[in-house]
Amino acid sequence: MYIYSFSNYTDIPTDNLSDKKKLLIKRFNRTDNFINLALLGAQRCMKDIKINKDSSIYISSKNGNMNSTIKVLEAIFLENKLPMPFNFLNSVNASTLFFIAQNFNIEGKTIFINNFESAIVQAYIDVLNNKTTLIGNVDEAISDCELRQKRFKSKDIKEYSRWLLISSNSLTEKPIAKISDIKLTTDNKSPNDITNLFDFLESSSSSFNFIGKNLSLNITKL
Amino acid sequence: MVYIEGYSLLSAIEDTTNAIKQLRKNSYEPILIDEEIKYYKIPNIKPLDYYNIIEKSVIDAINSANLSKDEIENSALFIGTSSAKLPLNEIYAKQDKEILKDLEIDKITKNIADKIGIKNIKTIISTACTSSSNALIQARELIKNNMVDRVIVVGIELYNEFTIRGFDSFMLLSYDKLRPFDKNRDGIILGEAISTVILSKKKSSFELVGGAIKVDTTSITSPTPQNLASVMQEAIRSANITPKDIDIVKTHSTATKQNDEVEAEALYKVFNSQIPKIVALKPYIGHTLGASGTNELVLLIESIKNGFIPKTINFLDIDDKCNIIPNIEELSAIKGYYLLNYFGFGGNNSSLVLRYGD
Repeated sequence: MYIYSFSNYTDIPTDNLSDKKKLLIKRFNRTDNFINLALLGAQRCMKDIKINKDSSIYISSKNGNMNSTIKVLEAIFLENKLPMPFNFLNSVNASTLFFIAQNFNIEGKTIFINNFESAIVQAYIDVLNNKTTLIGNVDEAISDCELRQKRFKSKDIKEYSRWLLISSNSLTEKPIAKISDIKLTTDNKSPNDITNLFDFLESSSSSFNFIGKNLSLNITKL
Repeated sequence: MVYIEGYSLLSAIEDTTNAIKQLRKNSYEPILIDEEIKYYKIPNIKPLDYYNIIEKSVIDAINSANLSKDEIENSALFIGTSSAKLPLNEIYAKQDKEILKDLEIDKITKNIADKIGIKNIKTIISTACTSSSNALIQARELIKNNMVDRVIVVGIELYNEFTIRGFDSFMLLSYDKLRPFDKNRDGIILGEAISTVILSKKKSSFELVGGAIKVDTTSITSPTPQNLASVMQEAIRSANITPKDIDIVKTHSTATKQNDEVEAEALYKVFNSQIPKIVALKPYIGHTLGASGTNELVLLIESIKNGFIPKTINFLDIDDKCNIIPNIEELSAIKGYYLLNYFGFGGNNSSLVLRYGD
């Protein structure tokens, strides 16, 4: 299994969340911060690469679309009214998958998942079945700074949208790295963070052993 | 080959065993949760029981499969849910006016895995109404490709106002009855339920022989017949059979005007005029969204085990636009292939193929 491209967008918002829509190559109506964040990372990963319609998409996220979820909860429980339909729709995780698929004209499998390790394992099986797979790891910050500090109890709140394009040896582009020795393991008490994997791809190192909570693999740059 | 080794269900029609009695009644009435909105509620549970309910569902399924400690430890855990921890967050929102107090979604898998002793990979899949059907398909792939021996798949959808008000904002709810394919159908009635399905290579009478997931990017809220037909065809192909081999279709049929019409058109595209027998299960337990994948699979399996296919209640008049008459009388269970459809928001659609036989 080969990595053909990657992106590693990270932002540390201090006051307001940045306007990602301005940075997008292709924009969509009624998308919110989380969806635009996902689109931004995916567009940077895909650049001009064309992939088959039957390709798969995985988005992993710890917290999903928090800002639209908060808007819906506030409407119902603080303002005692029906939520705005598009806030509800954007809060549904499948909506983000929809826009990514629409952006790249994909009609294959789309899965929203809570951890990147599991996304890699499932993408690996898709690649074994000759599918190209786009995998993202996306998490947004809460736009309400006060609520943000209270919930996360941390000064540095990061937003990130990191993506990998993986496939067997079938794309016309040259792969940048090979993933091998993919194995599932029982719980590992001191796992690597997925950040290490993307840091490695940006570094000058040639090889990296990723040992996660339930997954181990090797990446060798080509 | 991937088989169903064990399962459990807790829904508005009670637990797995009692559900069979309810499935043989002629009607089932959801409760009113405010002046107009109806809902299929699990009897006698409290919102704060959240983790206990999930734990019980998993333990019941483990007991039905008679798994050893080692087998549990090496199993993977896949959860399919669209609302995840919203039921808990709503309690805090109501009590303390604090929004999104309980953030970490990983707590669901961690809590269950720690209590039950599961040490392999844990995953939550959230793709709206297809969450747990997609979890079943992905779990099957993991076993088929020898990544794990066994996956415990849990579908969770517990009462939350977020979803009810969200669907209400789209004017998709029925204030009357859930009537799949009926001329006078007027929308969805939501429900809560939780179920667990254990998949493994251990041979049983129920084999998950195929499945497919496809995204339809035409509209974020409305499916197209072309895509629904294509996902059914791909699922059938993946089972190495043809549409003619399908004996019964468990439709998604949410009972909205548009969705049932589109599903009907897709069925005609796949099966031409030879539509297999149709069964719709939502009138018994409501639309249980992300958990409908495992819930409706368990309801169907338990019925088959008891020798019958449930009748589709609430259907009265044929809709010429759908031209579908679901089975309005109970049928005898047959050995053969069952196609199960699940379609969702965001154009996320999936179909499963189940084989019942020796």
